Amino acid sequence: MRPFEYIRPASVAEAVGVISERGEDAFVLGGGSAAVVMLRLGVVRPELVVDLGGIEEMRGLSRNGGLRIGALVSIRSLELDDGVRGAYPLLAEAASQVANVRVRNVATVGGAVAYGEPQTDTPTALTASGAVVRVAGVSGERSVPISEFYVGPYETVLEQGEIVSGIDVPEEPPHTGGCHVKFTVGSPENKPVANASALVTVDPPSGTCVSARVVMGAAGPVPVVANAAGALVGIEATPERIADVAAEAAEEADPMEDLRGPEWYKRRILRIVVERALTCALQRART
Amino acid sequence: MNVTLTVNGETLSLDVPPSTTLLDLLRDRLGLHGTKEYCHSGVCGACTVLANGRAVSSCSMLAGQVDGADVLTIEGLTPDEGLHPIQQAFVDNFGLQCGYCTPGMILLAKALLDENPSPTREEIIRYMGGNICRCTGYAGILRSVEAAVKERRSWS
Repeated sequence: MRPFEYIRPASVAEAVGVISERGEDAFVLGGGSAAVVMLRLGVVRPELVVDLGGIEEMRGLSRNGGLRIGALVSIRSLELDDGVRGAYPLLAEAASQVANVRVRNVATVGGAVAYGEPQTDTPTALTASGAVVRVAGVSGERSVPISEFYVGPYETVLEQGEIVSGIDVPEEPPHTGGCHVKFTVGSPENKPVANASALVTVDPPSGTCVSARVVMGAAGPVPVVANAAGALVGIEATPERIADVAAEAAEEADPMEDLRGPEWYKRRILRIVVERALTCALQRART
Repeated sequence: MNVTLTVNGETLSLDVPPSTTLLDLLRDRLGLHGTKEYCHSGVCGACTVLANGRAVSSCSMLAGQVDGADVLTIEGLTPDEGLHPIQQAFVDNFGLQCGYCTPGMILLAKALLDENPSPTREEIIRYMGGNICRCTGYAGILRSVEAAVKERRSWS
């Protein structure tokens, strides 16, 4: 690995101060599961590595009206936390499907968001959950809806000197069901060929959908919100209507050919994961 | 830079370049060659060690990240005489062939049993499947971990 300087600031203020001062020379490390590999491969060649791991104020996971996730909360904590599993099962379900347990132990939610990798599960579920990203910079904090956070693959609206300090997720209304479906080839630890998160709220007496959100991952340069899901609002979602929505959603996606398959294949898989996620989310919303 | 950490029960204060990974530190600096080096990307699990009780890929952590941590490697798990019950379960159940993945597998199994003393077969498969073995086809590993679960009472 190329040599670099290393610091481990103790506060957000200290971190953003040094990052904005050093500009392009600084590289931010969260849990390190992606960052250390990038350093080793020489994908990044910083003069200074700023390890955020020592910032206590970015560690908390709390529920108070909504879910407040500190950027340093591990993917594994999101997977195992009883409060998250009870009130935000979509997030816990998506987190449990990320890579392997070693990665989930160190990878952070803030890191997964800031990295901007399109082929992963956490941003898909956070987008379906209506999450808001807290961004800290030298002039203070700003909030960006995660649906507006991504610009392209590995590209976000973060400006020079800014870091993700946390993520806020609004409380799910009653009679809401969420479901995350990941499809892989080979081992389940592999990156998804495609994934989908669905979050559906129903009106119990009539059984009609009050809201239906579907987001697709590994489906384009950024998490893709399927507008087709809007067609389910105000109707009783039958399997036929769900199948129609899934077919339309797959057409809205913009998957890229890679080692996990050509574009046409990924579209077929997207149709299937959207159909499964919606069917499962509806079932959970009704029970 | 200086890092202070506990490795296999011994607290050490070391001066290392900041680009040193935990894996480099264990193998090259401390001569603990039981921790294996392979994919360098957090995928294969050959370099698995426990840091503060959790299974991690030592290749994907910088030394600075483990400042103050308590690290356990396969050398620390092995008693002065004989084998740890998980190691013995791997021997008894043909849980290894070439042996390269074995230190990582055994530490991963330890992390699993510490978190969940009576995992189901499905839970074992899901957890252990994250480490790669290209010899055994996993059947022997699964048998070994199941045997270790049964033995768990005797060693806790």
